Amino acid sequence: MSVTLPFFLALSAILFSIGLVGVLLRRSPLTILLSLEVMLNSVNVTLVAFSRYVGGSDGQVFALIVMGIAAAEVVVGLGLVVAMTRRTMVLDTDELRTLNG
Amino acid sequence: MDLVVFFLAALAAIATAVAVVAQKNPFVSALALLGNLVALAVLMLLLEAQFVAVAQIIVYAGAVMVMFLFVIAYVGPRGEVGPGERKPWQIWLAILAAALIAIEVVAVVYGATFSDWAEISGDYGSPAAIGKSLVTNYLLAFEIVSVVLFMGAVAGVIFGSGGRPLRLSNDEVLAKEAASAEQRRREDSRAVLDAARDSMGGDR
Amino acid sequence: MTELVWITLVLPLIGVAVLAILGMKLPPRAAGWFASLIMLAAFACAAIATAILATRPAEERQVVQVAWTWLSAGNFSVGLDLWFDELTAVMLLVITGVGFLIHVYSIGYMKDDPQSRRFMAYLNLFVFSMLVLVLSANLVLLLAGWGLVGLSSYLLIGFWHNKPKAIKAAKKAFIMNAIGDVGLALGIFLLFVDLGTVSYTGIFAEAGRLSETQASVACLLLLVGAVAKSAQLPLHTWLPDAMEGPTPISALIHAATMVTAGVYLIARMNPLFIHAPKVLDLIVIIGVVGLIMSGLIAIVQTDIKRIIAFSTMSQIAYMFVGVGLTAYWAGIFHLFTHAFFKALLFLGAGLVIHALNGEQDIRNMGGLRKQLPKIYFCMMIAAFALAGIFPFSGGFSKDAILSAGLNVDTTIGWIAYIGGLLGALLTGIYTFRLIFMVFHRRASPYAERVIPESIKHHGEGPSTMLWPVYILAIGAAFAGLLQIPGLTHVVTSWLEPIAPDGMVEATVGQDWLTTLIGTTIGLIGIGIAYHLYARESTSPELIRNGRGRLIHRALERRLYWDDLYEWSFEKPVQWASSFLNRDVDRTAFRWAPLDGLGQLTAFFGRSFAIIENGIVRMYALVLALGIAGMILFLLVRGA
Repeated sequence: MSVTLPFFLALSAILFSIGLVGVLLRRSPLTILLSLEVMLNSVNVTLVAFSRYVGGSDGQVFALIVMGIAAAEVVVGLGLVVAMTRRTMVLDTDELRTLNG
Repeated sequence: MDLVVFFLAALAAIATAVAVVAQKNPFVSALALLGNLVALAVLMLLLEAQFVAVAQIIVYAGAVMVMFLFVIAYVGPRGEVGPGERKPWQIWLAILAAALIAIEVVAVVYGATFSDWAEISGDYGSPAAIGKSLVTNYLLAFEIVSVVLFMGAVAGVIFGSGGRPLRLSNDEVLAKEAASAEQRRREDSRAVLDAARDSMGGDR
Repeated sequence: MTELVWITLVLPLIGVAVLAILGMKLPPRAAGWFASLIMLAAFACAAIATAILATRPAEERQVVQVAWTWLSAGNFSVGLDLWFDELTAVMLLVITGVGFLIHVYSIGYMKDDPQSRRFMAYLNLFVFSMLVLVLSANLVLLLAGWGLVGLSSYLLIGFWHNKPKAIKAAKKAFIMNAIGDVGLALGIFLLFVDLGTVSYTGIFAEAGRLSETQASVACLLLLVGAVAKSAQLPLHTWLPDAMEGPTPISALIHAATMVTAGVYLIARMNPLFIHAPKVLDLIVIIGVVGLIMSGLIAIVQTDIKRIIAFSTMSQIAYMFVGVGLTAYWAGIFHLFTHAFFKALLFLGAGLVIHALNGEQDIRNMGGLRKQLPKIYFCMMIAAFALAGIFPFSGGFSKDAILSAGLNVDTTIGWIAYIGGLLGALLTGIYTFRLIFMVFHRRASPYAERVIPESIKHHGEGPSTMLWPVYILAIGAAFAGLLQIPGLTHVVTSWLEPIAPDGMVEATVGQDWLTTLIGTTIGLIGIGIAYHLYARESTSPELIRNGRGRLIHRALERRLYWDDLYEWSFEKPVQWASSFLNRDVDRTAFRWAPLDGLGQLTAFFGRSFAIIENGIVRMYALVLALGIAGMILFLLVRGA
């Protein structure tokens, strides 16, 4: 038995779920950002795997674009973390609840 | 052989992902993510996507992770937040949602039939092939990503530069030092006076 | 040449942009001079373009340039087109020329105001809007300019936004103008439906296809717009209140340029109006009634700026009479001279008010001719021009309008002639009532107290305020010489081509006869004013308590137009809303079945508010559950 596409897809799903749990349960914005990275990377695995499955380079291009967007997202997220720190706010997303309805 | 590599890398990826999520110390989390990235790069090599694998390591491990580590170092121990009070139904719902998604995807994959990998030519996954695709078919997406990245950079600078600086400025430090020196001088002179008074009292 | 026109149009816009972006970084004086220089450059471009236009043969003077198509839907297409011809050239010169002088004046006028830069930006915005209005080559772009001048007028009337009266006046002007905008827009829609085009070229070419009814309705709707913008009956009530704005605004917008847009519209659309003779008659009637009515009201007003505002109404009414009689050149000629002498009058009044520390009531003035000789001299020129005394500019243009009535020789023509002459008498009276009460007479205690101090401080006014007044005085004195009956005919020959169907031109004999009668009547008016107001012994209060007390009070209340609008529109809405609030809402909707509806909504609101707890993780959780549920649904359905 050799490695086939379903292996990668299943692995990707598992990694995605782990990352999701992190995003949903952790309160530190830093850890949330790191968990988001895990989710994004798991999707990259899917993209690259399908790219290999089809035999075109499109999926790999998507993976690269996802990386670019992830980098932008990290910059903004970390900028927010730095801004919170400089304003001596507690680094806890649960404290940011101005949207409370 | 492939199978062994796959399972080793997959296990490593899952283990590091769990570590990223579960670690209390964000520094350890970040290092675990680094391991996760390397494991995924191995998997991508297995899929013969050499360029993406290398880009993954260079861009993520080299640039993004360094930025993460800088910020974690800047924030310091404040980055660690304990679990705190949290309603149990929230935890269960979160785990339920995540598990549902994973099980559903696995179920779909299990139920489907896949053919084998496609036949590929020698330059599959090479920088040349991807680059060509990037600047022809996906030029618009490429440009948009560059704009988004630029906006992200600007936003990062703006967010990061506002507010009160965490550490004291040079002037504040000098002022503080001057104040404490003054205090010390005053205390010293009082001590001298007290000593003199004591000695005089002793004479009397 | 078209490039120059484009530059003229764009320059004020650049001014707005620069002042809006860099405004707070510039020192106020620099901002003022910057805006003024922009205007000077625009004026230079306009003047050169006009000169080039003048060198062309008459049949090649209409220039239409399409920059790009702006709106396009089906067979409807509107371009950003410029139209440059003789009429546009006149308007362009007035707007940029008088605009430049008033910009310079504003530097001095606004020097103590911390927000003078905002003022300058608005001024440039106004000039740009006005240029769009007169340069557009289709009705839609004209409507855009029409709305933009309304907006800038609103912004400038309410410039002192901590003054409740100014805000109220600004709103009033805006709403009145909005009524006109609606009329104009409906007229444009109708023309498009009837003719399938909104460009001037198209409309002028196709206008003959319209039946008289179609043409009349369309022209009537356009007239609604013109009447509102030009403050004519019955949409005139905003203009006197607009005097709450800064004086340069009154001079530029509410005397020289914007309020004359209605006259411009009618003159511009003359190939269309010619097919609606009844509407043209209506324009004359509106003009005659308006000029007499506003002349009467002006006689009893005591606020110096309001007197001039009513005189503006009455002078624009003259222009309406002119264009209504199809003597377009006479209407535009009067527009041209009026821009000089009315702006001059306003700026002079601004200087007087400045010297009196903001006092605007003419009863608190008097005897100023000795202290303010230069202003007195310029104001006298303006007053003679306004009263239509030969050979000042206003005399020529007003007499041109009246003699057109004589030339037409119909009932309407005679109404215009007699009414116009009666108006000339009133003009003489109210103009010189103002002059005599402000500059002659014994000085009031207030003026005696304030004036010496203020003269000592800044003389008659800062030089940036005085020089524009001098230049305008030259224009007000001599602009009429362009068209001396029988001798010069610059205006008629220049404006001849704008009316393909021809226009009324009086004979030289009729012209001189009217000049003779008009000047005599004007002088009689001045004599009456002298008798009533100039001598020390007579006091205006005596007249007030005399026999005409009722009329006097009616005139003071501006013939109850404002009250009419208040009682017919404002009060009913207030009654209706208070009825709905007190009787319908507070009782009927407290009835259980209806109230339950509200309770139900509130209940749902409260239930869903639980997940809106402000915690980001909670939102992410809902999102994740939603995705999981969606996939589950697809799986179950697929199986």
